[in-house]
Amino acid sequence: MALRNLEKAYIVASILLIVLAYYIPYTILSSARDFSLYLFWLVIVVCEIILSMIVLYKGGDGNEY
Amino acid sequence: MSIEVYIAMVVFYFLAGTLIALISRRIGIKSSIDYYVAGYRLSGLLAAMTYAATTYSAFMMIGLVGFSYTTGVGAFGFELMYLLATIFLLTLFSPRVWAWARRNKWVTPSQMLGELYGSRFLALVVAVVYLIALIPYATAQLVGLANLFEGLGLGYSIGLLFGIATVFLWTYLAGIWSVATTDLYQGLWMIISSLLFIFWILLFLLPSNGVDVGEYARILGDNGYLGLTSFWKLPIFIAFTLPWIFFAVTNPQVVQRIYMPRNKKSLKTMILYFSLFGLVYTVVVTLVGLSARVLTIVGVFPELAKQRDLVTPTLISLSPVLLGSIVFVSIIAAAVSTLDSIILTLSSTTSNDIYGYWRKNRSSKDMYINYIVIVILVIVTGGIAALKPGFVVELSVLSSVMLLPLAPITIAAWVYREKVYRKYRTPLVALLSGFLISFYAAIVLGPKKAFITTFYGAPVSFWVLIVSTVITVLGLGIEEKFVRG
Repeated sequence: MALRNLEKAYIVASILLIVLAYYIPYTILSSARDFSLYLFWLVIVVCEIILSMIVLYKGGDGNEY
Repeated sequence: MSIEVYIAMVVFYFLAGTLIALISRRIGIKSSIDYYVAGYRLSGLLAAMTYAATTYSAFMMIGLVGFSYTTGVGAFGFELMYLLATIFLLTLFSPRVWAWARRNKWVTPSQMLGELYGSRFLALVVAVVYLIALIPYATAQLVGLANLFEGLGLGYSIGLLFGIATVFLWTYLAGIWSVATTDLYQGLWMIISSLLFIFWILLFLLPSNGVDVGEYARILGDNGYLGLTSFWKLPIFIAFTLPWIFFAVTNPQVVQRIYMPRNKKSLKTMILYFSLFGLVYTVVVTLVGLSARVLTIVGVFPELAKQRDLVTPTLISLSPVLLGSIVFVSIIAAAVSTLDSIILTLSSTTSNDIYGYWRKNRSSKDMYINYIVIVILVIVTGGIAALKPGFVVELSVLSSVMLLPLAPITIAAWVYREKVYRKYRTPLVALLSGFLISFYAAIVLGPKKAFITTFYGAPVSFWVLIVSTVITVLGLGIEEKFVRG
């Protein structure tokens, strides 16, 4: 399976987002008293949706392998 | 009066859905490929809504609302981890899986694994694992549905019979065509009703009890519900999220939906619409639970921490009758749409990969076995639901734990497609090892404890994934070096 640069960047970015979605809530935001933890998770997913749409719609048809 | 409105809404839901299912028969079913994967001809909207309605079950409006109410924002994170990982996995893998499926005429995910690894026996074993693992998940839908009827005073048995009859009819009529079209109808009902419900809670119920936006956040924050409550220790969060993270590659009812879009544009539309549906629905559902917690803290809603599955029914009982009946039916819709998809998928894997293992010359136009299997599965699921087993949440997650060993072997096959052919011993050992660990834990500890009990600081789901992944990696390496297919 030959990955193009766009897919490589997407994989790295997505894994980073998943790691952050675990790490930040258990460190910086574990004792949040406002909606910051809620918004953090929300923003992470919105970022993933945007990244995915970029890969799907701008990546052409090459990701079929 | 109110009970009549609820009954009328249920009858309307059933009749409208049945009409849609009947109309979908016009498509014309000629083979198993038409019946189970829509002849690879689903539009993007239909594909997205059947993916969403299949994924989001009664667990959302009953289990997750109660979970948010009891454990705070951590429940939101737990559910969003699923969505985050699913969007990633779908974007990365679905274009190639979609292309391979139509090229190789795949009908079932077990057939897919069997062909990728070059073993019909592997397909058989995977199909059996699906059957064992998805029975609790399917049962959870019926239990949730029947509990709703019971809470309304209509009786558990009536709810159970209604669920069985609806699922059977909407599955049997036109296979995936009736399931997908009713999923579109039910998915729209679910999302619109949930939005109406949260608007009513935020704009009427809370303000009428003296709670404005600032007060809402302050109450939740002061009581610790906006951070991670003591429930969400890291091993517990991992225990809950790990099976769901791989849901998109382990659960056959959603893997099968990757095959169905009619072209690449429809596939992309499916992923986009599903992502938006999932995000909005998760936000709304968790806000319902958090709002109920605020109402409990200010003293106008009963404390239901020990009966968290009753949070939504109790909120519904406080709402205007028409709204309550719409939300009530949306939960029925969520349960039915998930259940009929599972039944149809299990029917396809059973007839294609279990029955088909012994009847090798079976024609795809040989439809009667498909119908027989659907009848059997509906009866079995209904029979187990009649025994009223455990909490919806635990039952649902347990299924995904049992299916978790499929994650490494499926991803390995998708990534190293040509290299894994004929290396079927490794996935067999990996699958059975992981499955037996989870099955053993479920038997010994009971379904509730099986996935929250930790061993050496990590939950069972973690060890299932580690064991099956290590076996997959080492096994494929060994087979590559020493075994000639």
